Amino acid sequence: MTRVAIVIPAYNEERAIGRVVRPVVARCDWCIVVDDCSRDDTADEAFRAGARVIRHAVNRGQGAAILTGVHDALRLGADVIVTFDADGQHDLADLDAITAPVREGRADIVLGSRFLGHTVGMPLSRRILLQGAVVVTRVLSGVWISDVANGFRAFSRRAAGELTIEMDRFAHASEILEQIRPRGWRLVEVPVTIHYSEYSMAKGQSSWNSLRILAELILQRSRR
Amino acid sequence: MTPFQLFGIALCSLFALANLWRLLRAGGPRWPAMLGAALGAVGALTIHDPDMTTRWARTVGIMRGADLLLYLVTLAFLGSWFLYYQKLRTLSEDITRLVRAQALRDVRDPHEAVPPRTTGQGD
Repeated sequence: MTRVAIVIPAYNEERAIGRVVRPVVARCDWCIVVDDCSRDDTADEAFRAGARVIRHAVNRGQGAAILTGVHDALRLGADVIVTFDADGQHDLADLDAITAPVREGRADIVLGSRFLGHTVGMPLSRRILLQGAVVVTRVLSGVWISDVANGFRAFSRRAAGELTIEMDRFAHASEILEQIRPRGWRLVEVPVTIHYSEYSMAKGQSSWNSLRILAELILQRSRR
Repeated sequence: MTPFQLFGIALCSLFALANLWRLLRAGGPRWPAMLGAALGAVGALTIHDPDMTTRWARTVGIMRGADLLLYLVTLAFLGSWFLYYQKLRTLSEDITRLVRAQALRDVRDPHEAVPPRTTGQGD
């Protein structure tokens, strides 16, 4: 039987984390919340909701938190490892769709796409920015996908074991995509629904961050 | 020779000699000491003969020696910034690895809850 672990990186999410974790705990073998040194009660809220909680002693960023959770999931013996946002943007109804290609042995990495699926309340500026990022990603990583910044993904055990994330902050999403071709991972994109709310928009990154991410990616390449 | 020139040349020469000493005696990467020795020597030479920078500038198509120095300082700044960025990234990755290792040792799992401690005195 395939065992699924969901990794939820979280930072200052005490308002949303309980409501995100409870249904996940009911659906999966493991719900791992990685609290990235939140200043609020995120870790305790997640624990009370039934999650396995790992706490970074120092804030290291979302990418670092994801890799910590992935290491824990591998240690537990998970066959499919899913990453999921803590702010309630993702819809757990898409879980079966996102894990199916890995469970059926058709994919090593499955990426959720809001542009193949639905978005609720997405601002136009965000849509334009994400479409631009698709083109940049095509140039930098050679991967042609419709949504490059979606945190809803599934990894096979093999892909999770090979995954490296050196860019601790938001650029990790592009870093993951850059590994697809060199590592020979089989990629499948599936439609998912993203719910934009006032809370998630306030928590999300600003559009200017995209320039910072691009600069980080270029500088990171210079280190290789 | 003015007092400033004497002082400047002495300072730059000392800097160059200190770096030469490092180059000959110390282990580790050699290029910082080589760069330091070269900078000290060029500094001493240009203080001794201020027109030298103008001659060098004209050789490479720049009219003024001050402009040549400005360009070189700008390039040196960018180079230093890049080097320090690389060091900072390496350090940051090391910190992340430490934080991760420590976090993975202290996992809290509700299914592996530790029973509350008792004093063993009938409480």
